Formats: sequence, C-alpha cells, structure tokens
Amino acid sequence: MSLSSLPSVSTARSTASLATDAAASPPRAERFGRALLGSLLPLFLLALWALAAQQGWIGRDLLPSPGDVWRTTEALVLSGALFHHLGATLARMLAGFLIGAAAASLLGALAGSSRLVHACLDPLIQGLRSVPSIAWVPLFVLWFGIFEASKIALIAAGVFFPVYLNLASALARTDPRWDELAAVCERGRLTRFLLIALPASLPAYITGLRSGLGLGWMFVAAAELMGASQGLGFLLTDGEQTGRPETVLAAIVIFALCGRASDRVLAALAARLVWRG
Amino acid sequence: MAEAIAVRELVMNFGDRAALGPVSFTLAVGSITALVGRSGAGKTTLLRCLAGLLAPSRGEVKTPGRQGRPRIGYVFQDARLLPWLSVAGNVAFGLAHLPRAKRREAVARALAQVGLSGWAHARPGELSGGMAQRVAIARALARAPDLLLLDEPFSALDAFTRRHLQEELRLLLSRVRLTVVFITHDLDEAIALADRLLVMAGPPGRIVADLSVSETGGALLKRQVLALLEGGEEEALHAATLRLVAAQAG
Repeated sequence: MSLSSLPSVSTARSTASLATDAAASPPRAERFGRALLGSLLPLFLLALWALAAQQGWIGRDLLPSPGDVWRTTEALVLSGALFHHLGATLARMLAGFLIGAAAASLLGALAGSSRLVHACLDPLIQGLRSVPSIAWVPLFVLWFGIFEASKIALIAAGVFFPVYLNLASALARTDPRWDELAAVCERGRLTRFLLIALPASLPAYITGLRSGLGLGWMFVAAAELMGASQGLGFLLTDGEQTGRPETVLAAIVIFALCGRASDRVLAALAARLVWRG
Repeated sequence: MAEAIAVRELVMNFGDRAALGPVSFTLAVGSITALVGRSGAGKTTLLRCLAGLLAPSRGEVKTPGRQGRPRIGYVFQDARLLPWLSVAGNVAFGLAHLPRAKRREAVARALAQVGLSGWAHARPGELSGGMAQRVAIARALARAPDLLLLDEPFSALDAFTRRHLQEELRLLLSRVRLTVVFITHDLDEAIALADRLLVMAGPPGRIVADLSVSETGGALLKRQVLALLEGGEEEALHAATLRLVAAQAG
C-alpha cells in the first residue's frame, strides 16, 4: 500500500492550505467587521471633541474644533508647507532608522551568533540601554552640532536597542535541535547561520524593527522639538509658541498617520518575508 | 558478509555518570538492526555516537573500506523540517556535497521513494505528521548514506499512521540496500522491520542479547525479548538470553 493513498494524506494539504490562508488573510466580512469595531471609539471621541468645541466646554484657544484642524491641514497642504515639513521629518526618520537598524543588525548578529562576542559586547549595550535616550541629546549636540547629524544620531539610538535585543536574543535562542540536524547533514557554521539561525530569528527581528520604528517616530518628534527650523516637530513648537493649537493638533494627527502607515508597510513586508510554521 | 560499520569498545560518560558501554558489534552491509530496551538503556546515546552527534569517551566507530566517518542519514523522533524551506529544500538540506543538477535528481528520487513527488514545493506547515516524517526519511535517504539511523521515527504519530509508515518503510528498505539501525519501543515494529535485534539494558547501557530475527520466530522472539526486558537482575537476563538462543537454535 502506498502512503499517498491514505485519506489523511490526501486531505491534509487542502486543510492545511486553508488554515494557512485563513491565518494570512481573514475573510473580507471579518476584516470589515474588525475595522468597523476599531473605528467606533475614535469616531465617538471625534464626535465628543466636535461637541465640546461647539458647546464651548473648552476654550477654542486650547481645543479648536475638528473643522479648524481640518482647515489648517488643508491650508498647510495648499501652501506646500506640509510637504516641506513632512519631507524633512521623513528624511531624518529614514536616515536615523537605517543607521540604527543597520548598526543593531550587525552587532545583534555578531552577539547572537558568538558567545565570545556576546560576553564582550552585551553587558556594555545592556548598560547603555538603561540610559534614557533623551539623556544623549547634550552629548550628541556637542559631538555632531545642532543641525541634522545630532537629530539623526538620536533617532538611530532610539531604533538601535529594540532591534539589537530582539535579533541577538533570537539568534542565541535558536533551537539546538537544528544544530543536530545541521551536524548530521554535515553543514558548516556559515550555512547553519544563513539557513537556520537567520530565518529562525526573522520573526523576532521584524518585531524588533517594528518596535524600533515606533521608537524612531518618538525620537524624531523629540529631536525636532528640541530645535529645528523644519519638520513636523517644528510645526508643534511653532504652533505652541504662536498660540495656534490647531497647528499642533494637525501635526499630531500627521505624526500618527505617518507612524501607522510606516508600521503597516513594515508589517506587509514582514508578511511576505516571514515563514509560517 | 562485508562489514559496513565496526563498533569497538564504545564507552560514553557524561561527567562522572557512565551512560554507555563498553559495547562492541559489527553491522553487515545491508543489515537492518533494531535497538530495543527500556528507557535509560543507552539506545539513543549509542545511536548518537554512531551519528557523530556525541564524541565517545572511549572506543571508536569505524567504517571498513572507507576513509573518515561514514555518511549518515538520520531520522529524528520529530520530523525536524525547517519550516522556512519547501519540502524539496528540506530534502536538499543534506546534499551540500552534490552539484546542483545531481542534488535536484537526488531530491526527486528520494521524494518519489516516499510517495511525495507532488509535494516538492509545499511548505512543512502544510503537511500532516505522517507526511512530515516521510519527508524526514526522504532527506536521510537522499544522502545515499553508508548508515541510516532512525530514532523512534514513528513514535510521535497515531497508531493508524504509524502502522502504515512501518509497512511503507519495510517495503522501502527491501528495495534499497542500506545498512540501517533504528530504535524502537515497539517489538512488533522491531520484528517486522529488522533482521537483527540488539537488546540493551542499563544504565550504563550495554548489549545483553544479539538476536537474529528468523522468518517464523516472531512471536517466540517477542516473548523472549519481553522476558529479557522484564527481568531485573543480570543473571536473569543472562539466563533468558541463553534460553532464547537455545530456542532459536532448536
């Protein structure tokens, strides 16, 4: 009897495929239901905000109406100012993210794959991690000046730690059973690293990148708040100093949209790259 | 018959604890040997020493007529497939020594041997437990090993699938002439697949009986091995072995 004639075998693929597909993308109705559920609270808060502004429960100099914020955003778009500031923020964010993620990937890969490097490197990095990243600002300003380089360095520092920690710990925790498999298949260290450790660590690495991206957005705002002549953070300080809360709120909303959109891009990339067991 | 593997005075200690040996035996080319015995009898330690996964404290595993270590095909208790590789990629994982074209041929041949030709591009997550274990067997077979080692390969499967895989493996091993050592706790499986049983007891693990499986003596052999395994004392084991050998001779 051939095993391929077993009923469990002949049905397994279709069942498993369905399960995998279902996990990858839920049915359209379910996705719509989730989106609807997730938008209920924001819509309620928006309505409450509009009502509070209309009824004058809070002064317009403190909390402008959603309409005011919309009109301010529209004006920023029409004048081209929004793209100017958004472009400056995105350029800093991209540079800081790439530098921080690249450094963390390199050091995380080294520390995760060599006990010696881990023993030498990890205590220092764990120590540095305990320093609040904002505390680096004076030093970065001294080292890199008050312009772009110090801001990018701060963003890179924010991105670095979650990426490093996730990658190094995932590599170090690679299932030793894979090493046994590699040994009986006479695979060398490099192949083990490339074909086993790296793909096994990919889900944790992507999680680290997404956490790093989130922190990157926090730090780009912090860096621009501390002193910038352009960028969304500049819009925040400009709005505060000129008494225009609608500009502050418009910048916050744009920050939120950018953070969400960039995370979705990374999540979509991860969905393509990361294996499913 | 030509020797495929010669094990001489193999001893394995973990720190101060003696886990195995000394054990000595030879394996004839094309022989199928089952290691049976209670848990802790050193079966897995012996198999891992044969595979080179453990460096023995003393003794050696030699491959007469071949330089260096034997090429091993190893099937673990779990299928141990790499979930990020396709079925074909998993089978090819042990074929780094072959050029690409030959690797492709070996993968196709091995998948055909286990009846999974149509599944080359599937991912391990799409396979049932039995299919995954067949891919693991294909991965081991594709290496054209000098020694095929199987560590309770079907223990994680349900009884129905296990029986079918045992039968499939029996047919497969009758078609390919490989030297095989496998561990099992299932005496029916051992008698159905093997032509020789090494009965182990321990710790430290040692071989207390070396029995050939005759065409007709399965039921008797099973009773005798059970008697061996249920006996506790060395003398009882020895006496049971003698009875068994006498029964086989008779």
